[in-house]
Amino acid sequence: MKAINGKLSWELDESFVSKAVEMARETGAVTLDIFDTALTRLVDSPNDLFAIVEAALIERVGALAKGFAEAREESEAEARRQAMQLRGAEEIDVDDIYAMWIQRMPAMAPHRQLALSLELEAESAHLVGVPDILEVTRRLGALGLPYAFVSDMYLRQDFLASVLTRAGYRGWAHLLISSETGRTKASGRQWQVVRKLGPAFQRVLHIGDDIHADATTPIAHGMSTLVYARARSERRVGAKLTPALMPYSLMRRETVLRRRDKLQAEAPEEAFWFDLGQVLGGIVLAAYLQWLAERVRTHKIDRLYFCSRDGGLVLRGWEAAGLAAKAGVPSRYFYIARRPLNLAAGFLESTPDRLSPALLEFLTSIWPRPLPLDVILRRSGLEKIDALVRDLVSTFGSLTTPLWHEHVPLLREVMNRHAAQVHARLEVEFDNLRGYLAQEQFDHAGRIGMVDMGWHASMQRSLRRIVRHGARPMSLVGFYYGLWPAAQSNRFGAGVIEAAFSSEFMRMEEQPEMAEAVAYLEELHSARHGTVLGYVRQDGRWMPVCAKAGLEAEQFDRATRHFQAGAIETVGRLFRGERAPGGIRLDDLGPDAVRAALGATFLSPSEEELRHLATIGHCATFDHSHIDPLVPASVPTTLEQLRHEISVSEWKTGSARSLLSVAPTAMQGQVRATIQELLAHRGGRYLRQFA
Amino acid sequence: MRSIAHGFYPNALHHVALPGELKKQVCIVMRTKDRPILLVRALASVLAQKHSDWHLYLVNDGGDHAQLDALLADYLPAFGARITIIQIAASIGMEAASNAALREMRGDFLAVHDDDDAWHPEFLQETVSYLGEPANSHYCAVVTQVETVWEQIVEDRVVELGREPYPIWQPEVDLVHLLNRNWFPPIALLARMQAVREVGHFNEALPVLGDWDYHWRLLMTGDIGTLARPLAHYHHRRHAQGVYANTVLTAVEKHLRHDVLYRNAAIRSFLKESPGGFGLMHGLLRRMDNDLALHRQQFGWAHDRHVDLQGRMAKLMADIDNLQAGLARQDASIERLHASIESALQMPRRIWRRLLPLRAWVARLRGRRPQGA
Repeated sequence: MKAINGKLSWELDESFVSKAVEMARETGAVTLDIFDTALTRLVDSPNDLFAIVEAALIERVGALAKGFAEAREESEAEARRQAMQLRGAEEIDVDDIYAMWIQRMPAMAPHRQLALSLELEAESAHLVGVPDILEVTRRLGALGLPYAFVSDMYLRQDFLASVLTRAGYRGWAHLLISSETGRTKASGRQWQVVRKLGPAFQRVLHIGDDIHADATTPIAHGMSTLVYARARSERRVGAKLTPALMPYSLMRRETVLRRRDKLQAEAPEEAFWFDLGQVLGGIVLAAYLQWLAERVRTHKIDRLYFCSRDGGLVLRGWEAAGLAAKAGVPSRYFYIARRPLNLAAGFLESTPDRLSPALLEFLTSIWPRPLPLDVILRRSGLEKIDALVRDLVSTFGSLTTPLWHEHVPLLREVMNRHAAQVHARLEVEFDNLRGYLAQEQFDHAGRIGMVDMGWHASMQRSLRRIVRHGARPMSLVGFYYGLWPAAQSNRFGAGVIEAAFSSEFMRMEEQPEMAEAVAYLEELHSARHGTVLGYVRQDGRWMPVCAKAGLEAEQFDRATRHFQAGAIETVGRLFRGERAPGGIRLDDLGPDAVRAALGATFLSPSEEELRHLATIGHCATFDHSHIDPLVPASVPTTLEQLRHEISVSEWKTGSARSLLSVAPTAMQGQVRATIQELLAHRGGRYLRQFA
Repeated sequence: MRSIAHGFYPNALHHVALPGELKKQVCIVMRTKDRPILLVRALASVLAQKHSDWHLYLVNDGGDHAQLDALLADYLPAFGARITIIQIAASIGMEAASNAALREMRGDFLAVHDDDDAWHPEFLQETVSYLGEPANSHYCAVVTQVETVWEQIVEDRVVELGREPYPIWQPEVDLVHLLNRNWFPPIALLARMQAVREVGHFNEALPVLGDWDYHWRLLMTGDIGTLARPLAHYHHRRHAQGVYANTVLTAVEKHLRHDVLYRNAAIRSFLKESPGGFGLMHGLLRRMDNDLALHRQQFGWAHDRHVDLQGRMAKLMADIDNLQAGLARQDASIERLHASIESALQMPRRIWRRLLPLRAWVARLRGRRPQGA
């Protein structure tokens, strides 16, 4: 979205403009809200602007300015609290805010004026006029109807007047700013000031975007209103407010405004996924590819394997970025999955007398719901071991008996009783996998790199163990999006493992951006084919056997492929040296920008994002028999159920937001309090979205 | 004449580098011997540091060379030129191994990273930044909070059992406290090289307690700052034996024995140099002994008094119980009495109600309203 001469280049909403003018004829005068109505910012969330100021300050005064953005935000909130408590004032001005800010960052006191002027500079550079409202004011002028701007804002009148003028506004009768009148639209007291502007302003049409301040309150004070939502933005509170947030903020806002360029009731679903892919997917993938290229060089990798199914998108990105040719490292898509690997590794670790603890853990994994016995057997190919089946039926009743946590110890005991047959059955899996690995030259000498999403490196450990079983020395390096602390346990067995965005040396609670995004990253990176179940020999080659994708394929067609198309488009542009939306360049993207983008999206989704992301499902177990929605589909009837739903959710923020929105009115208070208690460790800023 | 401040706070680091002159290379000493399962984690912990200006001195203290070489082959590209491997044919002990590295190093800070511990990725970034602040220029080192990680080794995996904050933390590093016991592990410390040079070598005579010895000697050169963030991970394997054991857990007797020997050596050395110190120490110890005896006596009295009060309280409680039982009995008998009166009054009440017409007739004769009508 390009802003031309300080305004957006949108298709005009003639219907809105005509209606506004028609209503204005009845009232005789118009008042206009400024922010997200007459003007809008080119950043995703209004306070993101402070991150731009922080970056500029750091450039000028150094590391001393780190933390400016969050301190600036907190100072405003604190100044408001104090003004209300000490003076009963409902509005503050920018001097009040900076007086408070100096208390928070006393070492920055000599740079107060610089900080303020950089803030005004950033505001001015990122505020643009809204074409529909500009047209309304032009027609009002032609009709001789007066209009005034009325804004709840701490900035000064002269500054806003200059920004409005630059955006193309002319001929307004008055400019009322709450910081100067001391009264706000939100409280309704500003309308008393409006009435004093003269006879024409006794009854006005007010146009604005905020339901409370621009509609409900003015109506209560006898004004006509028209809500204008096209330039609205939402406040996000999830990501840390630092300069690292800027790539996401600028890219996201531009795609949102671009999507509103054309008039349509609602953008089609595929457009949402494409935009999300272009921004979030593009940032994540481009940053990862840059990192991967550097690590491949450092480790002198000579073959690169992109593991199914998440690695498919990364391989496409690797090629779209031109890195396949530039790195000069042969790369291929590698059909691999937990099932064939863990079964083969389990064969190695077990004996005919005893199945290994790791294998038993894998064979009996049941989560997040009970599984029937026959599903547990079939997913590992154990249903044909008659003695085992008979033993299990006599132990648990029937093959359709659903088993849950409490049954696992007994289930393991029974399986171990048939260790010899299970072990023999897994040997087939082992041989097939070895055949496929040999065909793909995975067991050849050299330095191999494998690319996967990551988390525990258990797949890499199994692969290395299987290849080394043939006494072949191998050098294997895993390049992951992220690793969790549990990966430490596999480090020795896995070989070198490295992660771009999360660290195994930090608690998961310290990395909420990644923790909340994992399930979505996996789903949105997934290939269309089903999970790899094993391998068969066909026409002299080992071919992967994939599960029927079914529901996953439907999800891929509906959402994933559009997300991936958007991500690849951004990667292509950035690696060609072009700029992505928001003017972002490849150099702007690093791990911090990725964490910020993930935090913004998954720790404080917009309403639209929440609605679409809630339609994505995820399969937590390797049987792929169910896709569980990542946001609970049913409404809990008790607080205990609510606690459980949020605690087990792979996307706690989305689940909490969704459950709060559907909770019965009578329960809202309790639900809100429960959520705030469960997620209290994420801090006050994050919790604001549940206030 | 020296300033009062110098007089009050004698500190060997008067000439500490100004912030503008401060370089930031950290020399990391890591001693290992045949613990590959843990060593790979320690190497990764170093590689994961956000502060990337460091050099690792890996000392193989008599461990299997070939095994270490094979393991390092995969990791060397990631280290590039930032690693020096010092192979020692026969083990010379932990402190001597540290000294072997110390002799090689040229940098601005020293950190000792044991091969079984780990750092948070921000450990070096935060500690280097702390010592780089002008306000902290008088600190010779900084120590962070510690997280204890309990784990066990299962085959070739290190399985984490749990984490908890390290039980000791003090907002200031108190020399007196540190003389009493070592309250932070080496993984939590970053020292200025200038102070390290002043302290000299690690004490090679000590088979255990070398960390404690080094820490208090370091504190003799200047104060140690504190960073209240758990950026150091101190890994413990409670039941591990052999090479994977923690000496602090499995060699308790050895620690206790050397605790005594170490103290004896220090006092011996002190008294040889200052025989008059015997008088001072004797005086202090006698005073402490007397105080202790007095405290014991007072404690005995307090204990007797406590026992006496306990006896009285027990008697009072018994009396209260008896009174409550008596009251309960009286309540019951009043209940019974009430019930028998109620029972006895049933018949007269019934007759009185039946006589209502007669009572009404009499009342009318007397010109009154009948009661109960």
